[in-house]
Amino acid sequence: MVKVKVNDIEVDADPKDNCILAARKAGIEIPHYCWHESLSVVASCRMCLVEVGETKPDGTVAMGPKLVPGCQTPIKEGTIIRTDSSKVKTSQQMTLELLLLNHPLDCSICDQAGECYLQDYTYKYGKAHSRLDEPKIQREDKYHIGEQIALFTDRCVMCTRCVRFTREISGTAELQVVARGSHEEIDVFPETPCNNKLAGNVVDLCPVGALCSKDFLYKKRVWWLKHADSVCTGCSTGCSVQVDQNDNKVYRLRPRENPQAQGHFMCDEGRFGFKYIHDERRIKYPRLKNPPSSANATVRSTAPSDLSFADPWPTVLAEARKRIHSAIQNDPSGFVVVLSPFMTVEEAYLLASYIKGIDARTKLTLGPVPVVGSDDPAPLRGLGHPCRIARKILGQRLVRRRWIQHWLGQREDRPSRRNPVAVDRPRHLPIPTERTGRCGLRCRIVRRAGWNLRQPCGASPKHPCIDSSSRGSPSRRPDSYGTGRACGLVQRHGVA
Amino acid sequence: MNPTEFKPVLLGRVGKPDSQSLATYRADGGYEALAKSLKMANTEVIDLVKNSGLRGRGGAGFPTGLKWTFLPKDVQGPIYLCINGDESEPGTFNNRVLIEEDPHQVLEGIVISSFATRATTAYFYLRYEYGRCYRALQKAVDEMYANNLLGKNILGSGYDLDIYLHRGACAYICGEETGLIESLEGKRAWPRIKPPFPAIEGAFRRPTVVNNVETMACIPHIINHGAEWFQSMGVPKDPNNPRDAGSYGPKLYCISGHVNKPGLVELPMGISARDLIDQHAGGVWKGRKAKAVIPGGLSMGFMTNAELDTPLDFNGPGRVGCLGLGTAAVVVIDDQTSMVDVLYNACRFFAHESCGQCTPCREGTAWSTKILERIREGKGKLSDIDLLMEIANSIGTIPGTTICGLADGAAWPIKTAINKFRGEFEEYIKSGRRSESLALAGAH
Repeated sequence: MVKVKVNDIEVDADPKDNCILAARKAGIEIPHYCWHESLSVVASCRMCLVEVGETKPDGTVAMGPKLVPGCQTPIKEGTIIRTDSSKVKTSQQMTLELLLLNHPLDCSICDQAGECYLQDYTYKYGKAHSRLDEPKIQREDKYHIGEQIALFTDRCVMCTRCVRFTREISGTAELQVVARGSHEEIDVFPETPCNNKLAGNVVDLCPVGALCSKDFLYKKRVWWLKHADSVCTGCSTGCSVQVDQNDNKVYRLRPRENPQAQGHFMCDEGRFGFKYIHDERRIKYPRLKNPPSSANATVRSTAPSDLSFADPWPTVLAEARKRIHSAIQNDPSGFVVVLSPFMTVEEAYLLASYIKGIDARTKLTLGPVPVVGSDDPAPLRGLGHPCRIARKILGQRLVRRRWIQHWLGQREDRPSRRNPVAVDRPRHLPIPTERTGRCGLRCRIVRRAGWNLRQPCGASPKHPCIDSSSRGSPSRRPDSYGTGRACGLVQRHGVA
Repeated sequence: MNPTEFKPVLLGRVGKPDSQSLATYRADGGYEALAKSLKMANTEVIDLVKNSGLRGRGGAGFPTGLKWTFLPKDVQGPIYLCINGDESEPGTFNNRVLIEEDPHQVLEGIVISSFATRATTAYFYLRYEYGRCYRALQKAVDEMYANNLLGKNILGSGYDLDIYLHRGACAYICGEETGLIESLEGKRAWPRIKPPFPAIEGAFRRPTVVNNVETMACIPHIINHGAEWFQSMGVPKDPNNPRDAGSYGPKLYCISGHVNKPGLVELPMGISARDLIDQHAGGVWKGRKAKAVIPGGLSMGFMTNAELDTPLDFNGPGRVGCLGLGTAAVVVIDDQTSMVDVLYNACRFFAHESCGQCTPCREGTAWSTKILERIREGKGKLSDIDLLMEIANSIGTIPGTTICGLADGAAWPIKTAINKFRGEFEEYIKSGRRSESLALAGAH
């Protein structure tokens, strides 16, 4: 840790941080467009220009003569950052005026209005008037840019975040910068639209209203949306998401930054695959299958959402508790709980604690995920061709996540041909080939429990958290399938 | 040395019959410098170039020998030398003459420089428009390979070098060294952020030196005649300025614009612009007077008639508010020409050639062009002058608001034109007249 002074506020910052991150730790915002934590630094928007100086050994402060981009400038012990000098403010004003020069100012019909950095920064750092007398450059909107994304070309500030995303994260490189100077635009090559499995992320990355999600387009003004933190239920990766809803209708999911799960991004399948929650046939209320009292057992509606025949929650919960207790008392070692890999770690932990709290002899298992066909890895092409490695093994989503994490610098060990998923996903796990298991849950448990993944826990010489009893093919030992994994977890937590 | 006694060094062979061929170049003592330097240690060659005070001829005037020493010492793997032949600065044509008329002189310099920097591959980045240069170079390179001057074990010294000729695709920005490297790698020529500097991580992520063609042409002569001979020409260091590296050696001055005899002349550094125009370019045409002179390519800004006695060395133009010597491309503008038109053409060029990476340059150059277009249409306002100045200050103040130095170059013509000819701009706007002159065709 190094000591840095931002506008006279002293903070401890990581020496790997840049000025923007250091200032953020001091609670000071340095406006920026092109810089993003998980993408390479290009320092091209020039919005984050700040004054940077250093403290000499004799205590005097020497400020640099130039404004420097905060995103590109590393910090060291004694670095001084000034974001409130008149020099910085003038530069911010001028940069914003230049960015807005050819901007259509169509906030009233723009989807991004309300969460637009161009709006926010203009209010905070810009000035109210443009001095441009001449006609603005007008460009055509590009609805063809992707199946899920539309490009409103003239709103673009050329931060190239989206271009870098398709090059560096999805590895597909569909988006390009075409033309030169003030005429340049984001575009795709003819007939190669941006349809990769992570394409929806460019909408979140876009700091202005240039890239919009077709799914969400003109559906709701963002200031009406209420946000709730959640976890994506699409697969066992369990990306942290934010659910944006209004009047009990979900409008969109967006990834919530979580360095311990997926980082900054999520896949399109999860992002756009939430529509089922508004399905009419969805079961929304509890009902008892064999109600103890015979009074209302005779007439029961088959309509799942029929409220009039729903049993109240307290009754259902009390009945469930009673039945679980009696079943465990009858045969504790024969009582098996199947944890779904789609559960969150917290849910699984609570369930495991509860069951093991009743009787330690009960068993926990981890259920596989039935999947038809082969798994769908993304990126399909790109850096190092992970899909070629991924195709050979099961649970490819993990590979994808590992790659994303690797590219983001969160993991040093990259999946290699010899060791495709290193420790996340041991290859010899007994998973029937016709039922592809995505064993994300265990990994997340291990990660959150703070285990060192490289250190075997002792249960198995090679792999942590795996009880050796779970080895072997399921056809030979069907009863032992998966039983060891969650038990290991529970023992580790001192529940059992 | 008295300029009148000066015998051309770099242009010494230009105009001789068959000056492009290896045979005539060898007959004139060519490749002796190469043979001599291959017998030296590479550090000796670097020291010699360093002592000669040779500064890069591409525009920035960075000491060449010093640049070579920035390469990491114990580097594993290849080092590259890139030759910047993307001569796009308006008014500049010295590289073109050197390559077209005497390619072996340049190539000899490249081989010596590659040997000095331990480069095993040299990339010659040539702008696309120079087709004759390309053919002359290709012929010369073929001759060199056939005569063991390139390839494996050059002249029995054990040193290997390959030269690749790379033709660019017409962009001003490719003349910026990191833009050139990006373009060479097959990417969009967007200058890189520095650090890392090319000497640490350049082309294909390897240590790279980027040098100008004219710089390369000087190298064989320094090897042949020594550092003292080179320092006998030009302007010595300013003793009062410890940071001044002096302006030594011969320099090619490209003279164009409103003069009677435009062309390329070679002179020791430090001739004044007035002498250059009067003695070597036949004076301003049609008996007129010079109103403004661009000292070294459009991006260096303008000098007024009163400033013409400034010596054209690395420090001179800077003293009168210009950006520097640049490429020593002197463009003369006579007193019948409107500075509004001149500045409009300058801004139009930079707006067209801005690579579009940094916001201030991308938007600022286009905006200033629009404003000047309006002024030319007779719809200007007096406040436009201050606005132009403010835009120029935000595009490229010497405090770097942009990644590369070319934004400074785009701003400098605006700054100098308005600072030095403000009265003319005000009068033009007040008169409300429309410009009669057509805009110049785009350079690219």
